[in-house]
Amino acid sequence: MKKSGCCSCAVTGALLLTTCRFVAGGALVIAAIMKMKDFSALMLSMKAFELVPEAVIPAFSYMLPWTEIVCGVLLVYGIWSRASAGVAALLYAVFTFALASVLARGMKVDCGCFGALTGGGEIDGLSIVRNLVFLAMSIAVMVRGGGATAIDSLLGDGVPASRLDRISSCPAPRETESAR
Amino acid sequence: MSRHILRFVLILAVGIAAGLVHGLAVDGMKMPPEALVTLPEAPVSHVPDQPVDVAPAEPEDVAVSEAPSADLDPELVKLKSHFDAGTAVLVDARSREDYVAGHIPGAIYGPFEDFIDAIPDWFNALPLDQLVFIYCDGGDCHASEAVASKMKELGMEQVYVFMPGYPAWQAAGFPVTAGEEP
Repeated sequence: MKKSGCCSCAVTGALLLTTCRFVAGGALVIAAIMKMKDFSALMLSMKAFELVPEAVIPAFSYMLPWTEIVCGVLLVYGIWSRASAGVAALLYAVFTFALASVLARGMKVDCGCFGALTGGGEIDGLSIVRNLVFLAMSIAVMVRGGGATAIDSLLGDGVPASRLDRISSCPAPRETESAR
Repeated sequence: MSRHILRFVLILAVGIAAGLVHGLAVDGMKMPPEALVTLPEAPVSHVPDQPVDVAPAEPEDVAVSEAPSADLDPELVKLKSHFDAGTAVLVDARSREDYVAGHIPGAIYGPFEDFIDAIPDWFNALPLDQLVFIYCDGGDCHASEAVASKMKELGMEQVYVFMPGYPAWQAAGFPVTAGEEP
């Protein structure tokens, strides 16, 4: 009983971490692809935020989606999970700050976060909540690793041996049933 | 720990490098064209304090027409003059909800989202030398500047942003109308 309880925790943990990786990483990839459809729109969005000096906006506008896509792909596949989650957490923290800053200043600005996918739309509290959820997911992966489904785990990279052993030694569901 | 930090830095470096290379290769990383915010003067033949013919289409018209007073923003006076003379096309860059609730009569509903995946039909119908004024909510609203910049990028020559926005027009008691334009 103890062993199956321990196994179910490990499997649940692995599933949760996998979900966090897919959602946080997938959101970055989608956002990057949408941004890359129109760089001038992204530059105008950045200018509207009034947070970045205008001289560096063009450079930032190209660097941001590329960083998102590199980080997002690594996170989804679970390659260098903790590092890519760290970069994702940094990005989400910056986005959350930017959105909160716009709201605090009472500005009416289109987020431009996901390009045409959201049909445009002004920044509101929901945008910030969404980013905080993604941030929390990224931090979870940064702290706990990519989970058993990450490529890191398959390569045994950065995953505690005890956790790998626990999951791999879990009996199959049928064995648990017959033991009862 | 140092392994993770190194990977963190490497991921950032790859993303930044890829972005810079892409930007330099595509267009040298230039900002889109700036919007013009000082409206041109209306034609001299027009007398700005004439009564205004308001679009009669919708029953919800709340048409109020007054002569511009000396205290009004000069940009507002110029817009009113062009509106009275019919010398410019107006574009409303606000949300559909705000547009339907009230807009300057004859203004085209033209948010920035229209330009995201394709060039909108209303833009294609305008001659490239058409005088166009774009407005949104004034203050910190940048939607009109974004639309203006996009229109200039697409080749429109005479595009101006009315910075005081719809609230200033409405507060001056100038004609407004609600609903969709026919």
